[in-house]
Amino acid sequence: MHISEGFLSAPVLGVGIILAAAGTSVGLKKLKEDKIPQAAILSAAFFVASLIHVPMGPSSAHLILNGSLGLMLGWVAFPAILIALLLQGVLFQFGGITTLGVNTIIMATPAVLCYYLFAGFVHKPGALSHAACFACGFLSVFFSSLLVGTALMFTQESFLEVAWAVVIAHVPVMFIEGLVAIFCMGFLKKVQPELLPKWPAAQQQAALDNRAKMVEKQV
Amino acid sequence: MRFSCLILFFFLSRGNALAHKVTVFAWVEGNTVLGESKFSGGKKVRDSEIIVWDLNGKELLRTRTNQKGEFSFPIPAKTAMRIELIAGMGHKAEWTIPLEDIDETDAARDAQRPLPESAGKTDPGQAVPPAASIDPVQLEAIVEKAVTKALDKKITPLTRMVADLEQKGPTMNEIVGGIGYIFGLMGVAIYFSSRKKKS
Repeated sequence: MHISEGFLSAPVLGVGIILAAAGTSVGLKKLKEDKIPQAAILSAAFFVASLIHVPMGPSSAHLILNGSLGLMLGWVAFPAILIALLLQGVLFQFGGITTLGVNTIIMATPAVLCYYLFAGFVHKPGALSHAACFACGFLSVFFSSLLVGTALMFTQESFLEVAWAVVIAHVPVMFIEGLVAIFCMGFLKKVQPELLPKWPAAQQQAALDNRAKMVEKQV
Repeated sequence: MRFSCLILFFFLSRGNALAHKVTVFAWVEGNTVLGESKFSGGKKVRDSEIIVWDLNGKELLRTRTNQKGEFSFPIPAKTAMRIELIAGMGHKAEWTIPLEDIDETDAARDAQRPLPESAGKTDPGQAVPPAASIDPVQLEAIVEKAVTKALDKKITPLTRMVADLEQKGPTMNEIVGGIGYIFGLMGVAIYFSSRKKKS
């Protein structure tokens, strides 16, 4: 997923940096004080997740966790991923400093997208919530693969070819990410549901449901 | 429990490869350039394109890595070289061979060149020529060749060791350090947001 330095042309890098800066500033604006520790922990998780490799055939890929991260953080995923990528670039030489913007876009945009697509379903009962979590983990990696293809399209290789190769290489990761998302969200739902998105709304809904039940019972 | 599983998974999978950092390492042996390439974590980069440039950006030659991730090519020109590995999906690495390395081996090549002739001269003669008749220049060439050969033999394992070191994945220090940085930044963020609140 990390695009190496020296691969992309200057305009692509520039656009990446500008978009990443915009996303990060939106994220920082939305970052409330009580969310800071959560964002930091998830950023650290993202930072380490890239070291977990899923071997598969000739190539292999690593976990990304951008779906789970986006689901819990929304726009704050941008600064969280930016910081984690910066440290990965400096300490592990994954990706690079000039490609930081592009790589942030590649991983954070699907995260935000997944937040808008699936956050509403997390507090729904049972199977629906599981399905949403799985789709969130699965699709975030899928979208990221497409974005890698888009970024590389402007340099040398054709979009379909690259995107296809990246998607194929990440199929096992998509499934694993989906399962990880199901487990994480299921666990959090039981232990600390207020960490999950749209909790107040869900709580209101639950209260309404309860009241309706009580009314039914009384009747 | 799940956390420990993850940690276990993490350690088990460290031996395998991942596909987001590639390294290429090359050295000069005689008058060929040898090299090897790896994804960090140790998986070989198979059948990928190698492009050799001189430092002015002129393309010298192209080749591909074999199934073991290794490649070799004869020195194309007496200049410093930049070896670029294109591993696909946005992965790229490069390695530079400075002019001095090539200069040295060029001397070795010059030394090697007269040797076949001299060997041709000395071998067919049934009687071993008396030592005094050996031309000092030839002697120098022979000694130099022998020394180079012996040195190559001794040094190759070391070169490979250096290559392995060069291509090492992230260490525990870096991982823990990175996590520490993130939490440090969290502290800074909380500090600033708490100051904003007070004022």
